[in-house]
Amino acid sequence: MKRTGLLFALLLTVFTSSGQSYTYRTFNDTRVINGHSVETLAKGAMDIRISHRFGDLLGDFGGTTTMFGLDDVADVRLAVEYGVSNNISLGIGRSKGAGPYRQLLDGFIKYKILAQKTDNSMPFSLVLLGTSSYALQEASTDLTSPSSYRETAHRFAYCTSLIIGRKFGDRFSLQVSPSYVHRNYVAFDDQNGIFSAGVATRFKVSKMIGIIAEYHYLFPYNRATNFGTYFNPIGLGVEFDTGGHIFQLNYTNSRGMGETQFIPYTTSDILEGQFRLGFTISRVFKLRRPKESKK
Amino acid sequence: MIYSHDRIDVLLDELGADNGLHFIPVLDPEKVKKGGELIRDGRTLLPSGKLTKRQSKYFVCVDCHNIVREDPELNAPNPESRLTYAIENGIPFLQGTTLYGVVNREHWYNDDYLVKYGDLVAPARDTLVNAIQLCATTCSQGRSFDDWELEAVLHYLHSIGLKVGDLPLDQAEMKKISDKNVEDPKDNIELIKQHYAQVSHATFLDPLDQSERKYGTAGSVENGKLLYDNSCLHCHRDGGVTNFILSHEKVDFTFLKKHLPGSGQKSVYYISRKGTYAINGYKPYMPNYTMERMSHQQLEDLAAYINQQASK
Repeated sequence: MKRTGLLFALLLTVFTSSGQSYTYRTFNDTRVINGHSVETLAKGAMDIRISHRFGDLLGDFGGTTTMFGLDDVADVRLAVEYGVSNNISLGIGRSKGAGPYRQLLDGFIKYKILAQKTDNSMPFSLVLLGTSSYALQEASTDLTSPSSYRETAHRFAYCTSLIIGRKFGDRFSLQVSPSYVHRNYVAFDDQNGIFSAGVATRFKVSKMIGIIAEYHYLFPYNRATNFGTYFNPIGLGVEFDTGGHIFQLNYTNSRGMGETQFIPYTTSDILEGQFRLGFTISRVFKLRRPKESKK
Repeated sequence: MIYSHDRIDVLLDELGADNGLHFIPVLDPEKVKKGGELIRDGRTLLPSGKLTKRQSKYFVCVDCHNIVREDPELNAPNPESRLTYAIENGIPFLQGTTLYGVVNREHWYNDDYLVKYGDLVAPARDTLVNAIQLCATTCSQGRSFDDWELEAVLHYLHSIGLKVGDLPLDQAEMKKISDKNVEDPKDNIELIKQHYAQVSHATFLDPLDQSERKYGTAGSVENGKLLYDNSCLHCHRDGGVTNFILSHEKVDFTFLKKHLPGSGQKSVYYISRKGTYAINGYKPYMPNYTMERMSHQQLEDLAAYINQQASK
């Protein structure tokens, strides 16, 4: 216990006590495409987010019948997030859900343990992320269904991620994010715990435009249940930083958003044209003045 | 006997000069403290221990004004010597005049501020209290100061008024103003006032025409860096008051260089002279730099630095 306390104090000290300057914006946003980035909100910043995923662009449910997915809504998420301090962010969100669990309320806590420094005395940023989702949908009367929710606890799913990111020069950033997703209740032929290894990157084309990409490799690979085969989520996008707003357009094979959704429940096979257009709009409001700006 | 820490306004009062309606001869340390908090933080503690409502959600006074001396020559302030002085003393180079010595001025919102603010400046030009309230409501897009807050702010501003030691008085002049039995105090009043400006002038300039811009070819990269760090980044740094963030990354300089020839808000030549306006939904804005706060040459210096960094 004493050792744990000491470690925690050390981690806090590592981030908060140094007067050296930290690397500026490894990623523009707190998300890359679906997953979290190493960025946390500044203290007192409130981020209002709207994310949308359309239907399949091509494949059986895409093409002209759904106007290449525009007539279909895979998922929509509304969220509000807040920077408690420069290294701790909290957030809650509401989304439709895209797996067997629907009408989701989700929340997260994100703690930046280490921050990359410009002098390379700390060569990378390290973030610990805990997310959880709760399914609000009415329980299924089919007691064999994973959404039968015989207990309240069955409605919960969790994800813990360690995100390690580094900015290489002015333009290129890379992060890896090992994650563990645990769903309290799953179909009989599924498994509660899933490990994944994510990799995400950004290349800054100009001050305002960046190319972003994200991929998560799942363990086990291509698991199959009676809901179908699950694929590794992948996404490619472009982001626009207009100063206050971040607009992100992306193509991804995952329908759901949030780690407890897109990691275990991506059923779309990109090779079958089952990928979709999505966008995220993020608007940050500064509710508190940054302390360092005071003279 | 006169000491270097003696207040100029008190000295002038003793000589019979009119210090204006705002003059406070004896300062209350508690009011000075609270006034300082309002100027620096935009809020202070009520007697109940609760924090006051923020004066402005967008700005505090020190976003645009220094609260220390910023000019080496108080009777002939100019942006070139001010930049050198700012760097030597580690202070930002800002659009607004310093609040240090603001109580010693006789007019505020001078010259071309009439162009921007119209009739609003009429009551503010000769009365510091009105100037403070105009700044609070219009410039910082916030609320007026309550009476007790205003009083505290005035006490604080008097505490950062000019002191005898700020003026370059020689021995003979010191001896003369120390003489309590002077025949005509007006001479001493004049002697003191000739050492500092009673008005901070403001000349609004149009952005240089594209054909007149030298795009940094006639600028000092060294000065440009000082301006970028102490002026632009004061507000545009990560965590600053604006959402439009600038840094020392090449992509930022490439962006600024690309837009140098423009005649819109993305051009440094343009935005520095025109600033922006508060709009519904987004009230923070950028004040313009007057001729007295940044010279055309300094803009060329800034352009030279931007060019150099973008070409690295």
